[in-house]
Amino acid sequence: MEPVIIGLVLGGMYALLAQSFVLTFVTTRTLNFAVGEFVAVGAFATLAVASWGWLPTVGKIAIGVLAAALLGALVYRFLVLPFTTQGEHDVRWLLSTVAVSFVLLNLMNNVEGPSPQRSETAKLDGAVDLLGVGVSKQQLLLAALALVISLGLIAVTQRTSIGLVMRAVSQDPDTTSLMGVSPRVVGMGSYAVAMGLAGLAGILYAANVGASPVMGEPLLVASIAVAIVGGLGSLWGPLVGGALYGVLSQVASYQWGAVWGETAGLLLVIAVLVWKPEGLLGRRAEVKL
Amino acid sequence: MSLVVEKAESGYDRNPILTGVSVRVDPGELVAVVGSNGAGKTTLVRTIVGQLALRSGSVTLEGADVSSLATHKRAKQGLMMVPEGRKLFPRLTVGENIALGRRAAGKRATGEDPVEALLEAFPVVKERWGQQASLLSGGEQQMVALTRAVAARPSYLLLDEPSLGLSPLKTLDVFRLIELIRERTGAGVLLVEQMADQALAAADRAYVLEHGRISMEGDAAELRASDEVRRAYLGAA
Repeated sequence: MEPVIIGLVLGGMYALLAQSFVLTFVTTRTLNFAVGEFVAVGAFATLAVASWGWLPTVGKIAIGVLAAALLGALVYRFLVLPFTTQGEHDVRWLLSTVAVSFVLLNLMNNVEGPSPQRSETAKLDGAVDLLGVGVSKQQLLLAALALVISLGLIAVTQRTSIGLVMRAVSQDPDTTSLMGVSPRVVGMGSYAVAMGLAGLAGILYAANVGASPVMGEPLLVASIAVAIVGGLGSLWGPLVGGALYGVLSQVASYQWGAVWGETAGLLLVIAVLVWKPEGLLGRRAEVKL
Repeated sequence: MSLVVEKAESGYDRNPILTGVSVRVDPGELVAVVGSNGAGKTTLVRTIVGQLALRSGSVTLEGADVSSLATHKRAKQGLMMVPEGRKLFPRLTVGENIALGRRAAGKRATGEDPVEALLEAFPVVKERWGQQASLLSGGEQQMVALTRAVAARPSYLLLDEPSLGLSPLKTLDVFRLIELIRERTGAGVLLVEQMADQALAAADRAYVLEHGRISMEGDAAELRASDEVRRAYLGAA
């Protein structure tokens, strides 16, 4: 039972980042490969205001989230959008987001230094008992947030006018602009929300591992895997993918040792790519003839 | 005040398609643009809404130059296009497609809602309200696409080949709907069509587009009766 519970909790954390991949992919058909650094940006921004005694914890977290969100919107506007203008086979954005990743990483290394810094703004002490398994409250909070935020995003896309526009953009961006919607604004908005989520993950994760420029990297591989397993086109995908990936990798490492944990997870990715390349909940791209 | 295209030149990459096209649509007027395949009809409407950039010339809307505005901004000013092939959002319902049109209306949504009259005259759209748009037949999709554009309260409506792929019977329906739209909305309509005979019969004025130029223009009935048009576009000897 223990690896299953721990796996679900870990999967929840990965799902939060996977959700940010799905969000930008659905609306702009691009992925931000600098997501790992946005995790660190959120953590550092909150750390920077950690000593402001007058600001309640929620405010400090909000500053971290907003910093990552704002930076995300700017990155889309100036470093992603200009590199998507040559049709659907234009993947220059891929290189530019990798470049953003290097630049942010080195910038943070120079300013903050490479070693992890204690950041306890969003720390929950202690553990709770889940079906006989002790789970740290911090981990549980991350997983619960991933679940709540995913369900919230799904409700927004299904029930609101903004959600309707998001679904329309994901199906046909050109016709959406004929309906008076600016594709640039939709893209900046979804990058802001997606990177805000990454920042939030970073703030909470930093309470465990400390804030450091490379703190997002270990999460990156797992969350891309989760996004692919679940399907990049569906907001439900990260939840399903996160649960599967988390449980499988934990069970494997309990049974055969830690090395097999990540291996099992990546084998799952390969299996999904072979049998259902659009992801478990994804939808096959439609090609019009 | 009207929609005026002046000496428009545009095209794709290195291929100029339009070489100096001037077209004018007045409020409430139905203007047809006829011409054979490849004459530049779709290029013309895409240029007017800003999906293709002008190389020279201008597009003015109610006296204001909109040549450098993005497509979504022109839409917000009441310039709506129903693209070739309908382009409904396939996995949204009929109602959601029309809701997106309504959303585009913004502040222009005053007075009586013209959509109601359309739904009354063509109840099939209402019957299909909750269905996914991709499940509709071509004719039904065209009805929905036209209704969606009308929901945006257009001041000018550009229709790109609305009869494309439809049976003669459905084509008649579409033309009846276009007449109704003009009557109910007072919008100026630019109708681009290969079905020259029907388009000319419905229109007030018309242009003949040939190899990216306007070769003839004038009263639609007169053009329809002229020998040249009859020979080239109406299949008469």
